[in-house]
This record gives sequence, structure tokens and C-alpha cells, in this order.
Amino acid sequence: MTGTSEVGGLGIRISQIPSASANTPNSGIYIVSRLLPSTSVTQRLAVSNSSNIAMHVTIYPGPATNIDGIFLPQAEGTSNELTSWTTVSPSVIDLAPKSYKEVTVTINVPSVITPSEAFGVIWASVSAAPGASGITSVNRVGIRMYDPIGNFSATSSSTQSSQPSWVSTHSIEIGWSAFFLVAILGFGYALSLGAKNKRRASVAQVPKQDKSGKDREKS
Amino acid sequence: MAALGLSLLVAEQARATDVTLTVSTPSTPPPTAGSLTISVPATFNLGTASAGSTISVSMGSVTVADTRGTSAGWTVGVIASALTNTTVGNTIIPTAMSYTTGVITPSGTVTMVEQDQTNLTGVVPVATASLGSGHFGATWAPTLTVVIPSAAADGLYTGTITQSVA
Repeated sequence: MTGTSEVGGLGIRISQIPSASANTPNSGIYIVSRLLPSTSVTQRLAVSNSSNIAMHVTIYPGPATNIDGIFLPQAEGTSNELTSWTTVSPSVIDLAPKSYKEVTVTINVPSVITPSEAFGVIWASVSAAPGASGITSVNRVGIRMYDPIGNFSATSSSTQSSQPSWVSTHSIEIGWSAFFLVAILGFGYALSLGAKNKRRASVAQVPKQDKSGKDREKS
Repeated sequence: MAALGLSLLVAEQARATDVTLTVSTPSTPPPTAGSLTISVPATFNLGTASAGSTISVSMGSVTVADTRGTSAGWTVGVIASALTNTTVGNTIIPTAMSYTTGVITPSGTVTMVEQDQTNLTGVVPVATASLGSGHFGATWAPTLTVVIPSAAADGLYTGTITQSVA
């Protein structure tokens, strides 16, 4: 089979990046949020069906390891710290042919954490009907999670920043924050200049009065 | 006059610190744009075999497509559950199962590494894509081999084979 764009199947992608991690390398293809205590991080993913048949899809978090740069998912049904904090809603979706739906990943970080880096995968999973021999074939496609916990300083295994053009990055939030920050600083600066000018004005008036007074005395 | 001076100063500050704000509405992407995709799993049968024999069957074609537009690459892992006899409950454990990718046909610019596995107990890597660029992917038709213990009871066995890409 040549050409991948015609291939039908189960797909998954990042459809929204939290503003806090918008500039983190690989935030366009992985979940890379820094997880701080007592916070909650949400992110939307899009699960797609590019095939010609309807799909019943299950979405769930699964643990992974990353040893010496080798990222390896663990078996379904197992968990780690990161996946125990992670939920996906909805966790089951039905996809018509040539369609997609968004799901929301939420990571609720507890108040007590140990700085480290956690690894996992958000899986979208679809099963074939069991064969006559009773074997069920399952295919999964996933978004990797590389999440530093607390103030952990990761030695990033990221290769490059990548962000599809259609991904919303919440630039509006950053833009407004920057605007208000500049406005406040500008207003404060203006006030200080105004106060300085006022002081200059009042200082400038004193010599005039003194000078005029001396002049008056001379006269 | 002081109020006027303050107003002018604020206006000057605003001009000196103009902020460019770009708001764009994401266009509706086609179903797979920017996605990592795996083909729908095929239904396959192990058929009928005798205790003590080895059977090998094709699992059907598997295709992974990467339209994320990055060179991040991906890894395909495979895991099998035990095959359980639906009548008497004994099992054929995944250490007796092998996964062979066969020829991997890449599409686009990508370097593929295959790793045939002879123990499917945990998630084991079977194919890795690296150094890809643009839109790329790969297709292969794996073979599952099961060594049936000589003590295996007659009957129908059920289990699950999972292929994962991330």
C-alpha cells in the first residue's frame, strides 16, 4: 500500500494545548504539562475514524516507562502514579465513518507529590470481532505523556517543537495577560513621571519665589 | 493641566508598548490531519491444531500513518493475553507466542526497524519508525505463531492480541 493519507483507521491527535505548556517542545504531539501540587490540568484530544466503518472506541490512560530514551507502554490494566491521577471523558465513544470527536484529559494532581518525571499514554482502542478461534484482535493508538512532576528538571528527550497549524494555543490568554501587564506597568510609570514632574514643578516654583523675594529685597 | 499631562503620558506609554494580538479560529481538520493512525484490526483465526504442534497464522495487514508533520517517530508494541480453554480453563501462556512483522513497507521518508519477538507476555516493541519526515507510515502483515503445549486440553481457546502505536 502506498501513500498514508488514504489509509483508513483509528487516529488520535492533540487538539488543544494548555497555555502553560504552549512553548514546551513537542506540546503539539505529546502531553507535556508540568504537574504542580493541588492543581488540575485539562487538555483536549481528537479521536478520529478515517475508515469506512463505524467504530466503538475506548479511551483510557495507560502507564509507560522511559528507560535510556526508550519509551515503552505497559500492559493494559496496570497503572502508575500519573495514570492514577488521569481521567478521560468521555471514555467510550462511537465514531461514524470519516468523523472525529474530542475527548478531555484531566490530570488531578494531589497536594503531596515527589518531584520526578512520569510517563504514560492516552490510548484510543478498537477491537475486531473475535475470530472463530476466539482470538480478539485489538489495535490501539496513543498520545504519549511526558510530564514533569513538581519542580523536577527534566532532561528532555524531546526532539523538536512541533505544532500543527490548526491547533489553538490559547494565544489570546497570553496576549491579554501581556496587555494588562504592560498597561499596569505603563500606568505606574506614568504616575511616577507625573509625581516627578509635580515635584519638579513645585521645586521650580520655590527658587522663583526666593529669587523674586531676593529681587524684591534688592529693590 | 496635570490631568492632561498624565493622559498624554499614558497615551505615549500605550504607543510605546503596542501588543500584537492574533486570534485565529482553528479550521476544522479532516479526520486524520495531524494524527497518528493505526488501521482497524483484522479478524483472524488460529484454526485447529493438535496439542504439541506449532501453528502460524497471518494477523492481516497493519498500517500506521503519521500525519503529525514531525520527525518524532513512533513505536509499535505488541502484547498477548493467555489463551484460555473455554471448557476446562487451562491456558496457553504468552511465552509460547511469537510475533513476526515480515516485510515492512514504508511510505514517505522514514527509517523502520523491526524487532521480531518470541515472548508476548509484556508489551514488547516490534517496529520502530525514526528519522521520518513529512507524512509517513508503514504497512506490514505480521504472523502470530503459537506453540501448543503437548498437555493442552482439547477445546476452544480465547484470548486477546493487542497492537499499539504511540
